Amino acid sequence: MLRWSRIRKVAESPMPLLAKELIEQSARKRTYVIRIVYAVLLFVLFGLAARDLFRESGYRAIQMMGTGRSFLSHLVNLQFYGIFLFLPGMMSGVITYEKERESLALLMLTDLGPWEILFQKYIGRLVPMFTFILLGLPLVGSFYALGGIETSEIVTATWLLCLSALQVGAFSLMFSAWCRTTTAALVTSYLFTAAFCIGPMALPRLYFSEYLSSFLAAFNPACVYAKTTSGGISVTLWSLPALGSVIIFLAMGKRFLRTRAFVPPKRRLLALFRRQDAFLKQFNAVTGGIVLIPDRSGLPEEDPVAWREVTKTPLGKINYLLRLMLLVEIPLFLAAIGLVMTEYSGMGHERLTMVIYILWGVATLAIVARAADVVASERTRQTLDVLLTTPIPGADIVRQKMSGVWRMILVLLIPFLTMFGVEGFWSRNFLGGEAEEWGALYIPFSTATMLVYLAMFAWFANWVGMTCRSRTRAVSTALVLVALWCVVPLLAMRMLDGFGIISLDGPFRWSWFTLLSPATVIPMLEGARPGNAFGADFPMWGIFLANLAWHSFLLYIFRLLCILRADRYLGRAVPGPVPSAPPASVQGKAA
Amino acid sequence: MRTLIAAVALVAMLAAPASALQIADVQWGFDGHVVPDRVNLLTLRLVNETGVPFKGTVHLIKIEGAATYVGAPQAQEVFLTPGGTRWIQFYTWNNRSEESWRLSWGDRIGRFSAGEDLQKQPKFGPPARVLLNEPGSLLASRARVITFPEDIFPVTVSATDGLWSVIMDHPPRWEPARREAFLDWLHRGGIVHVIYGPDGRFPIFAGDMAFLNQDKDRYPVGSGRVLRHKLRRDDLTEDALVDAGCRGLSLESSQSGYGGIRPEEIFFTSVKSFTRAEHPWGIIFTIVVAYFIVVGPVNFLLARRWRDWRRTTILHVSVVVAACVLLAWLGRRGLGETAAVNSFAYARPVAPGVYDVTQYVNAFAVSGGTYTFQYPSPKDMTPHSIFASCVDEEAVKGVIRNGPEGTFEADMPLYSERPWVWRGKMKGPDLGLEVESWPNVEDPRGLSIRCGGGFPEDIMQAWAVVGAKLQPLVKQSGRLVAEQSNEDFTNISSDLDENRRNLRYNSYSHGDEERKTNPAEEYGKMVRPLMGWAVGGTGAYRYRIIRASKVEEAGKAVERQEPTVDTHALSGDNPGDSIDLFVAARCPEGFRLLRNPFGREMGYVVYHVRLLKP
Repeated sequence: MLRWSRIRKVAESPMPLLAKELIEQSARKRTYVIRIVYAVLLFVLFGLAARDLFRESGYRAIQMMGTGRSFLSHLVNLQFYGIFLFLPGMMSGVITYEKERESLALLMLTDLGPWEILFQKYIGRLVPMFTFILLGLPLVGSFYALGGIETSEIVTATWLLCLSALQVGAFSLMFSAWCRTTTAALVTSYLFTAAFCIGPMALPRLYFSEYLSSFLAAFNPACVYAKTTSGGISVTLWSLPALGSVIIFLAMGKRFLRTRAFVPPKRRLLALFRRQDAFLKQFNAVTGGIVLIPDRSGLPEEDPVAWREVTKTPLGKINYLLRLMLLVEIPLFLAAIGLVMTEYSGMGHERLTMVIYILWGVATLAIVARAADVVASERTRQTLDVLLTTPIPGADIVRQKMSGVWRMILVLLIPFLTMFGVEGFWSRNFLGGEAEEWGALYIPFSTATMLVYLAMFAWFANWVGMTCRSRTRAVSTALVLVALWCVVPLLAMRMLDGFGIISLDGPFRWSWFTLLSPATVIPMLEGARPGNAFGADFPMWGIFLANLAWHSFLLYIFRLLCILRADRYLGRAVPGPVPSAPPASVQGKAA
Repeated sequence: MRTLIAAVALVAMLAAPASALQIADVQWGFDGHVVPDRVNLLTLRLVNETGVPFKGTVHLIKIEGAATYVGAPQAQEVFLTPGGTRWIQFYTWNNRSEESWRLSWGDRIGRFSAGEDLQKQPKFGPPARVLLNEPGSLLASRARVITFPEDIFPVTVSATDGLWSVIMDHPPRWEPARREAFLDWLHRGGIVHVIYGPDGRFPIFAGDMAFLNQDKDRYPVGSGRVLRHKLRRDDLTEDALVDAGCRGLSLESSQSGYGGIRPEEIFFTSVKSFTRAEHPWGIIFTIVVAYFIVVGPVNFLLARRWRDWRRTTILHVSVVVAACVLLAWLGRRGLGETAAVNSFAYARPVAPGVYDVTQYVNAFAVSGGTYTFQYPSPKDMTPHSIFASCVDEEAVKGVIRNGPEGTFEADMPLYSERPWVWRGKMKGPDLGLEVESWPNVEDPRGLSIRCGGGFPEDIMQAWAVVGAKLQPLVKQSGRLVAEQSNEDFTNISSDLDENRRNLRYNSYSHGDEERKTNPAEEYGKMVRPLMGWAVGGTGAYRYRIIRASKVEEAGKAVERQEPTVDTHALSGDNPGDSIDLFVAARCPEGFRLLRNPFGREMGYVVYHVRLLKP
């Protein structure tokens, strides 16, 4: 009897949560903004790739005949990267958002089972992703006429794109069910995406054996696409590992949804350090009470917000910080030496450079997510109002809230300095020529760039975070804006150059405008030489100094924005002139 | 023992295949050599040794690498009575020496079809100088120079590229077509040496060959020359010919900086490059922007009004599909507008207003199918069409039928191209050129040529090769007059190297936009390589007059200084005795395809007129 009523209910309203999700998304402006961003990025990047292909063919129609496969391959690869970039951001907040609003309990009180909740949330975010993938269809139509594409290849590409979306969505959902906060889920999802999806493509350049990368590639539909595009049995077989991983991720997500629905914060690392403290204190009875750094913890005399920000984390105390640094530093240093020693050519530092690029990505992701979250988290937890009742000025609140971020930058300084140091030392002592000359300047310029960039991103993300109402929105908006900031100037300049509107090598040095993107100088710091793009014989250090000056200026502007407008952004009444009484005529009209 | 006998019998059976036809003789060109970058003659003597008549089609194919065949097969209808024999002729375009060719008969065409490989392989050589032989004449055995049977002289001037000069000691017995071909060849620039006949007197020619009876040692006929030598067949040796001013030609292969240039590489690459998509980029960009607006803001506004995710999703999918269909249609339309035939022609007059034409053609199809290419057959002249597919990389699905009203049938898939070379006689304007003042060989700036009524109004370029100089000309009030500056002809060699570099490294893309808007300029770049090829070769292969290595100067034997390019090698003239005039203009109507299924046809022609000093 009960079963019949349930079936009837399901038949009447088959997927209530999915319907709610889709209705909300269809009415939300953000859905369309992201869609447009995705479409513009897809079309522009594809246009640039297509222009290269046109150029290779000498713009001759006959030379382009049969090249449809190359165009399809470019488009599909772009779509894979689109999935890796957009889907974790869209999916990782679905469960954590409910947790943060404390509405997950209500959801679980309904007659929806864990599988139903999970599936409906899953499909609710996959539908917009599929509409994004669909945006590339007109491009397929435009180059299909060139020939060289079989229908089976289009079917294979579509299937693998869908599979990739299912996979990325599944593990992002799993992390959303595992993590307590959206920020944690977002960062974890992106890191996992980088390791799981992009890693297998980069692994052969980092590891000594290709077996591991081949094994991981089997789980990655993007790698499967690179191996086989012909369709048929081979693609079906190659898809099985990825399909299996989707099922496993969803099963784990379902498990975490129940077991980790109401998990309090544990701070395992902090607990571990405290247990170490207790052990060392007992051990001191044997050693005679040697204390290298006395513990001065207690209640704060000043800066209470900053005190709270740092003491609730393992980075709160100097001795904890030192332990953490040693924990990171020793294996990192050995790994860096190992990477340099085992370079293929023995004459460069390509692997180390790869690691530095990854480090840049991870550090930016962590800093932006953390800085965007500092105010947004207070707002979501509804503790911001309490904070605002204190007599602390808004500017001070923001400044003190950011102290946790500075600690994080301090920790990130360790791997950066290690890598920069090893690369600089290697260049100076083992590589000849220009690398040797550059080796001495490399460390100070790289370190300065890192400090300026991370501080600038932190203030920028904080500014974005203060203007957003929810944590998810704050973190995702900040991440997307930073990504666009890094990519758009470079793309725009390349596009203008490609279409002949400007010439990057011309007498007017348009290349200077590429410094609008923070990403421009990082490959140059790592050894890429821009030729005469910035002017004949213009010294490299001049370019780096100019870049540092420009981004320091931006850092100052963002900081100023956050500090001067803190009260307004935090929602505190801004002291100003008392409005005078309206004129009599207006009063009369009102009457 | 029994096994051994069976094996021998099996081998004997396999070694002697039961074949309908047999190739009894193979004759490449006129003297056993083929000329690079030109149409060559291949003469085969077929024998039917079976007891049944053979009636069917034979195909000549080129075998290359692992492919069944390369290029397009040439077909010819053959009938042979039992035990009968006959000559058949094909026209080949040879890309290299030692090519493998096969004559196949039966339903299948290819390496493993019924047929026979040609036992003689072609070898490159200069255009030939041959003594014409009467068939079956006993005198042939007395000749000490290369002879050629007159009964297999080609029936069209277009097949005589490999013939440089002819020595005649008797009036040949030719049917009108062969006679016309011979006269055309002579008017085009051939050299005829008339020597004593067996009776010790110059032969007497009749009919339209009676002009050979003139009692002069040397006189012009059209662009050709007739020379009379008081020599008998028995006295005819290489030294005697050289003494009589009839020097031979040699072929040199040049492996210059870019491996030697083949003119067809330049011409085909250029005519292919005119095939380009003409997409309406303005409309396409507008559609893309409209697409962004509809999938973004418009969809959002409608979603706010409808509050129904199904309708917004359906709208999104509909917009995407509509944009896909629209862009696909525009893409196809853009390619569709490129369907065209582009050609570059080289024409030498054989009579007033009649030209022996070589055309480098490229056709681009936007719909798949079997296309038949044919050129018009002008009235009051013997028509003959020779096609060559000129490709060594692929097997062309199709067939070439050379001869009167010759055709080239080719299967062209969707969005594909088909290049070919065509040779034949065509009617064009009578240029009516006359030299008003003969220039100094060292400084030809005094040259002036009067143009006839049929001379094109708009010409692209005009050049004169005088001695070793290359003199640009301009048209002024019905005359071609020399410009103030000129250059050495050898500069063309560096042009060719530059072209080669462009071809190798695809740097033609620099001039994309100009080429799109100004094809005349791109055609103009092909004129100088063509001139180099026409006067004796300046690329991978070039011709030299055979000279003594040492000359007497002031009573001493000194090393001869070889010129870099023999600009008058093919004319056989001394510098200053003739002018090679080149005029580039748009192709006249008569030079176009008989039926053009592609709609557009664009082409330029370079007229090459050799003006001889009286």
